[in-house]
Formats: sequence, structure tokens, C-alpha cells
Amino acid sequence: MNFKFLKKEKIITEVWYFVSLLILIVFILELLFPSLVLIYLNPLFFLVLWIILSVYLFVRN
Amino acid sequence: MKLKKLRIFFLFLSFLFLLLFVYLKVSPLGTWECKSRFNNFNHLFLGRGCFSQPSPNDRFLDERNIKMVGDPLYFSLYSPRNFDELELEIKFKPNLDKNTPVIEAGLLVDKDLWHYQLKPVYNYWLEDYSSDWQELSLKDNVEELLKENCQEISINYCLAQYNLDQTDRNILPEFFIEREEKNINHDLALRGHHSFYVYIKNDLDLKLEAKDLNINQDRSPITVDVYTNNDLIYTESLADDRPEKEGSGEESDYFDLDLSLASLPEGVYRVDLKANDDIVFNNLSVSSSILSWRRRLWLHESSEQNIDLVTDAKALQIKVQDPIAYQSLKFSDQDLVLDELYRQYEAILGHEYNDLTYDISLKRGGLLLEGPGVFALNEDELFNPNYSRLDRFYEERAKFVLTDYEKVKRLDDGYFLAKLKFNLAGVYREDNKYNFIISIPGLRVKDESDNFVEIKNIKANFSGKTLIEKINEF
Repeated sequence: MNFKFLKKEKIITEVWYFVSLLILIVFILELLFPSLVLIYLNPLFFLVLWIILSVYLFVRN
Repeated sequence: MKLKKLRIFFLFLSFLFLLLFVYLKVSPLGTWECKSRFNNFNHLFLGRGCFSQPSPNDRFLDERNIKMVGDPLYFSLYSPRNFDELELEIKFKPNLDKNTPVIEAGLLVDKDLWHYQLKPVYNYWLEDYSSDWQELSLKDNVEELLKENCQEISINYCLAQYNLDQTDRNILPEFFIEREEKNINHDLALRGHHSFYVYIKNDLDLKLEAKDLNINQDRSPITVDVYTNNDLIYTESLADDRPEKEGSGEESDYFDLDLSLASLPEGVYRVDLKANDDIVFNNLSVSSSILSWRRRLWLHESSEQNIDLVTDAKALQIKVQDPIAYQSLKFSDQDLVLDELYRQYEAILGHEYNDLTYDISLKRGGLLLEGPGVFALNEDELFNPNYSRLDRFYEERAKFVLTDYEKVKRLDDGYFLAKLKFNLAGVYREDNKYNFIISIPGLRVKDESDNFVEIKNIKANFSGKTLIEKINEF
């Protein structure tokens, strides 16, 4: 990604990476240990957060 | 530089996140606990908890808590791995009366027979009505007390029981002293699992025939279990390796089942015939002076015409399993017209009925009969080793109650807390989930009464072997 952001955007980009990684981990965990993650967390939350961040970054680009 | 630190921090958090779930899955300390989240099902961040949303939907109102208005409610209970024991804490508020006095909860043990291991949660009679009953321990001379106080009325009305199934009651020798050893032959065709009591003087010789209807897709093995005092003393299984295809509807020929146990101590034994609904049992022969079917009798439509039965139960539930079984049934002096398939008919005899046994007359089979007692073909063969039960059919006459029951804890916020312990050995588990049930017999959605139970939450504490113990096993 070739974003020319201010510091705030850079932090948000890092958060975006982090949330993306968490979604990947949740996906892998769900494959490895079905249902366990869903007991504790709602993956929809991460997905919504990821979409919001993506839209924000896209608009700011 | 700062961004790099932030990235390392996030990576570290991600690693911790992964590690946490691996830890939860392995549960190295041998314990795992979780809580229901019935009122958080639509929560954006939180998960759904280890208990699923109950089903069927029409038996509860999904308010702040689960308001149970119909019986029973089914849940699934997740556990990350196998454990040995489960302790459940159910926080609830009952609004029940003598028509729905019992709350029980349990886990599915046998998937084929749909059999649940139930434990008492709440008993209205023992909680709200027990002030007249003095609590005795086994050290007290219970036998002497019964002799002194139960002379004038039948012991079945003097003594009640709950959460016990005993076959060693003290009056047995007196009851059987005049009875000769004999052989009982029945030609009733019975479908599915059944359980019956026999009285054995010395040897148990059991012979019966069975056939497989092959209606269901599952295989139909048969297991015969023999119990005394609730202890399993013998079990034998017959696998389903019959050539007929499952689900084809092609019936197998009748095959023989023989069981012979020599030199048994004299007494009452319970025999369980475990099989799914595809199996029809017939031509039963047993060396016993009694043969009493416990609580349930599913007469196959091929059963003989005009069947006369006796029961000690004052309530009878009937379900028509086949349209050819539509008929008029007589229970004591009450007539019931059975003209609807699978509807649960119920006949209850009131306080004015004081006999020890009641007649049931059927025109043909195809009916499932259930009642809080035993069924037999005649009075001579009828014997129930259990006393009347403290359930919705209890008649408020007992001077004494035998029970294994712990009163629920009343909390300051008005809720009740019941603790149940389950041994998970042999409990059915599929896809990391147990099948959990809450049952309140008699609670009906379309009832006029306003009975319900509010379930605030359920906490599950699993315990079992630690990771080190598991490694040592290998």
C-alpha cells in the first residue's frame, strides 16, 4: 500500500494489520478447534472493525 | 521507530491471543469452566457462551432471561475436550405449583434410545411442602418407624420416594413368601426399549424373540442389562449384522435371544431391553413369579386383539403410534376415545380412587402407554418395588419420604441456585458438544396455568485429568 499518511493514519494502518492478523488467527483457530473461539468472541466484531478501518483508509487515500 | 514498537506490540498481542485459545483447548490443569450467555446472543463483541440457545422456540420466551413455559427444553453444551466430571450451577426462579412440581436436568447418555441421565434441580414437595416431614438419617430405625406408623394404610400411600429406584425394600420377603417359582410366558409384541421387574428365587432364564423392522437408517443393536439395587450385574449385546438393508422397510425374521444366569441371590431384578424403535420383541418367557413392565409399554400393532392389562399407576399417558390403533380405551371406569395420531392423551384418577391396581382394556396394539408405575398382564404378576413418587401425580398422603435430594440454595436477589454433579463416563458427546435437557413434566405451552421457570444462567465446571496425567498415561 502506498499511503502517504499522517502519523494518525500510520497508527490506524498498524491497527488494520493487527485486526487482519486477528481475523486470520480466528479463522485458523476455528478450523483447528471448531466452536471454541465462538464461545468467547463474536468474529463479526473483528469483521465490522476491519471493514470500518478499510473504508476509512480507502477514503483517506 | 515508534511504529515498529507498536507493530511488535501488536504481534505480541496476536501471539498471546493464539496462545490463550490453545491453552483453553488443552486445559492443562484439567479444569474448564464457562457460563451461559442467554441474554447476550446478539451482543456484538461477546461470544455465545458454551450453552446454545434452547430449542424448540415455542417452549420459552426470550426475555432478559430464558422464561421456560413448555417441557422440555434442549440445549447443547460445548466442552473443549473430554473431562471426567461436570458440575452445573443453575440459577433460576420457579413459578410452579403441585401440577408441575419437579424440575430435572440432565445429559443425553444413549443417543439411540434418546435416554437422558436426569438429576433433580427442584422439587416443590420437598422445598415448599416438607415442613411436616422430619428429616431422618439411615442411622434411625426406619423399618421400626414404618411398622409403627404405616399399619392402617397401604405402605404405598404411607411412604413416598423421590430420586431413588430401589429394588431391595424390606417388605419383599413377606410379599413373596407364598409365591411359588414359576415360568411366565407373554406373547405381547412390544416395540423399542423396555424395562421390567422380575423376582428371581435362584436362576434367571430369559427367552424372547425379536425382529428388526428396518424403518430407520441406523443399525439396531440389542442390549440386555440386568440390575439389582441399581447395580448393573450383567450385560450382553447383540450387534445388528442382519442382511436386510437399513431404512428399506424389509423386516427381518424373528431371531432368538436367550439369557441364563445361575445361582443369583433371591430378590427383585430389573431387566432392561435396550433397542431402538426398529426392534419388536415377542414371546417373552422368564423364570419369575412376577413380570411388571416399568413405566412404559409400547404395544406393537401386531399385538393380539383385546389386550387386558393392570397397573398400579393412577395416571396414564397414551400416544397412538399407528392410525390402525384408533380405538376406545378403558382405564378403570374411564373411557378414552383415541382418534388422533401422536397426540398425548392423559387420564388421571382422582383421590376417590383408592384401589391398589387399575384395569386397562385395549382393543388392539399400536399404542404407547406410559405411567408413574408398572404394567402387567394380571394382578398376580404385578409388583412395583418403588413407592409412590413425589411428582405431579403425588397425592399428599405420605407420612414418610425416602429421597436423595439436596434443597436448593435461596439467594438474596430472589433467585434459587441448584448444583448438580454428573459423571461424564459414557455420556454422549458429538462435535465437542453434550446434549443437555431441562425438564418440567406437565408444563405445557397451551396450558391455562401461569406456571413457568425463569432461568437466569447456567454455569458449567468441567474437571478431569491434567495434561501431565494424560502424558503419564501414554
